[in-house]
Amino acid sequence: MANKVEKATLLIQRFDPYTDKTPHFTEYVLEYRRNDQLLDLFNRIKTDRDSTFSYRRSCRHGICGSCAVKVNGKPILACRTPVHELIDEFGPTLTVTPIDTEKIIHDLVIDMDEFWKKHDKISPFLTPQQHSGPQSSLQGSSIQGETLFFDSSSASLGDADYCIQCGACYYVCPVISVQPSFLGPAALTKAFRFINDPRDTQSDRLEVVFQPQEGVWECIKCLKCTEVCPKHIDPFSKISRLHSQVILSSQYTSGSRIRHTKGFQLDLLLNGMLNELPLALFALRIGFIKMAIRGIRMLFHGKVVLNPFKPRSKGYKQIRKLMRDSQ
Amino acid sequence: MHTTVEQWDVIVLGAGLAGISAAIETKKRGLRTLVLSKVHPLRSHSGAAQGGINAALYYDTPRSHIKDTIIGSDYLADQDAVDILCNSAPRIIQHLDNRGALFNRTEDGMIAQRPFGAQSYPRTCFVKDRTGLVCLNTMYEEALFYGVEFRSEWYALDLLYNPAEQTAYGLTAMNLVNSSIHVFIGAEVILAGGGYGRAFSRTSNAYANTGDTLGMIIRAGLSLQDMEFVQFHPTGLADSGILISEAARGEGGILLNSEGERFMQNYAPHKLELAPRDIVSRACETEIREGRGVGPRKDGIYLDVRHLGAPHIHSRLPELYDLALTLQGENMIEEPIRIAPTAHYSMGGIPTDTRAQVKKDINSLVRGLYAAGECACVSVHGANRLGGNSLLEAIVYGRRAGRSAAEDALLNKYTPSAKDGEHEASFSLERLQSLYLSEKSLGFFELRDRLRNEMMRRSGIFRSADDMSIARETIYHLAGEFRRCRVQDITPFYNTELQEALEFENMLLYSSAIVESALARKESRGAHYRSDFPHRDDKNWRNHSVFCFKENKGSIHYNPVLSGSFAPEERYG
Repeated sequence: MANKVEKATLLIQRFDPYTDKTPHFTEYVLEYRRNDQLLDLFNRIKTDRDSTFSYRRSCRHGICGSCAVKVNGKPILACRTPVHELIDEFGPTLTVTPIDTEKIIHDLVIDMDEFWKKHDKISPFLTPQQHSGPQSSLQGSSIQGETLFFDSSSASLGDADYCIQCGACYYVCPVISVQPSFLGPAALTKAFRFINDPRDTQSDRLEVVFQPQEGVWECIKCLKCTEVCPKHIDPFSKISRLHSQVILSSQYTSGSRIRHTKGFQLDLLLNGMLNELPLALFALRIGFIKMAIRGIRMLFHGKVVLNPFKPRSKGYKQIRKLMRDSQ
Repeated sequence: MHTTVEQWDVIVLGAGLAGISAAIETKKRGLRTLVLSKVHPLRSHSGAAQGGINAALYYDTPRSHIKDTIIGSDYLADQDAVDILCNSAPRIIQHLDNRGALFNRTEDGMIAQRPFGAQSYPRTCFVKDRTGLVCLNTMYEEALFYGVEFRSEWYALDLLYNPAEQTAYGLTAMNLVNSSIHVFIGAEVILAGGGYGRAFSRTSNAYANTGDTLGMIIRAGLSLQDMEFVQFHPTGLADSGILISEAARGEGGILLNSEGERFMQNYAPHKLELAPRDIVSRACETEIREGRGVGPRKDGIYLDVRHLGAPHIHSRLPELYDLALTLQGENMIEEPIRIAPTAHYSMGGIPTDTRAQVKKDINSLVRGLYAAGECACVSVHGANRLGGNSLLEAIVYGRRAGRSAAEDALLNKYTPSAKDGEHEASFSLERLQSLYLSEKSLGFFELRDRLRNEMMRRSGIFRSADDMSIARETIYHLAGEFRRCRVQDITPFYNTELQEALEFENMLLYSSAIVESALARKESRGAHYRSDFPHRDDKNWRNHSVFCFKENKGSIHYNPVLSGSFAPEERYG
């Protein structure tokens, strides 16, 4: 029933650097109705219990991207997530933390500077040929030199222009914490949007996603970004396509990452299975010596098999066929 | 307290479509430009616009767009301003397209246009149901291209204005992250602070839309124009006021009261649900007030789209379907959803000329001050805005504000300077301190609720002298109570309670302007409806109201409408 009142326990991480030494959790037991969103409960805490409770919010319907927080570790938009859905998923106690616990300014408000810098870093603007394209065929057109364009071309960008920069994908990405220079899913999605816009004329766009430590190579394909995106944009598939674009681009033929991918492919085509040792040699060349020590340690732990002449996989013909079909 | 003084050529307040458009123009002309915003630019409320942006392309003509806009405004718009708006529109679309906005296309690859209320042609260009978001992103991206400097999460406090010389020379603002206060000195100041629907308890507006620029104007002793005209959109979600776009009715949705009657037959027998917004809003409100409302509190109306069928709803109204389901738990495929009129757009604001420079009075301008977007009133919307004209206005007049500011800056070579930071900041600092001085530790959240309820009930869709006199008293009373409140949070780090207190202060000021202007206008026109004066009166009231605070009392005078070539006719004949 729509107006049944139930109780939820919110365990909220609070931290005011002015008065607190460390973050701590405060428990709030609140009544909620079926249509209450998490943000409604935040507002009630602020107006009725503790006016110092701080969080970001603005549009109230999931389009401005201000209010992303983590509930039991999962990033959500507080304004567009009903409390009852969270309770169905996590039980009656909800643990609310800032979307990133490293850079807290006050309670749930964090410093997103790094996130925005990466947004700006991918040259997020179209560089069009001004007034390009065929003239509109209709008489009386008010637009001179209209660039004709098709919905199918927009569709191929896979809603990348729908991103609201809420940071859900970025702060759930496990790579960011170990490789802080990784651009992350949101910025790469935006890069994808410009790289694949047929109207764009900037030829060196792939450069930024090609960069070691920053670009597509760092993605570990865990799909967390796609899982949490509140707008269902699927950042992973964008990263994945950028990955292919870099490999297939004639601009980039050298570099250990490219050779690794190509060697991997060759190995599968020839043998139907991966052979680590020749692959490492092929990809790293002289750098292989540096890796040798780690290789030996892996050998002792049984992580690799030292056999440069692995037998072919039994089903290699089938694998080869699958690979051809997928291309 | 230490205050830092910063010197810029141009200071833009607000980073929605209008502010960004202005900043690009001044930056392109080589001026040192700073944009201040209390939220990150991409969080601005321009991004919430769904429907589209109007332009007369292809077979349509700007002349027809002008005519529709003036009729829609109930003959209160100034035609010179509307001419500029509509004539610039095709170029704006071309610009957005060139800069990357992925407009929906026709099969031939040209820009698609959908029909919108009260337009003679389908002239609303759109990007699915996220036109505002895409326009905002596109313009922000262009600003990054030109290297415009943005400072996000700075909250503006007061305008620096010299009344003797009628000159604005900067503003004071507080960095929300650490509460440091800076004095920003600039020869040109552009105000683009956006809308102010938060003064009403049911609104489609974001939490950020608290009319801070209007508060700054009133405190500086300057005036506001046409404040009585607040547009109520007929279909907000009944519980939250979040917008259910006109598209729901455009696709064939119908409105029903508690008796299951399609009541629009009684109010607008020809256009039914697609009559102008103000008429539909008043019809819904009448049904609710006469006891035919739906829902547990009988404060809603049913919007029924079930007959469209699930596939149609999923393909044409996916966002609306999800909003109703998530925010109100109602599945529009299976049941009618509860809606109610919601405060949506404010036509009035800071009066400007067509160069977007702020007017001191009818004959004189404020040197160095410009305004554009929803906070401004140039006036292109008059008494009622047409759907699809607000994004357009933000860009067209945002750009004009930027160009005018740049022209003036390059011609005048006038460089204001601060005496010392202390002097300029003293007024703002006193205001901040007073919020911590009261002995009683009374909270202001309850006062804010009371203001918003009072505005909705007594100064909303239906107005009368009796109701608004009560509302006026309430506002005075609340303002007095507010002086006895004390902000509890003493942290300098992102103090949202302090910010909300400052916002509430602005809300009280401009609410008073709305009520005073509405009380004075003894006719009904567009969004302003007086049950004691239910007709439009062109002879006495076809003029702009100009409100200003003098010695703590509101005063109102009237300026003529620049009528041009369209003589007033009955709007809904």
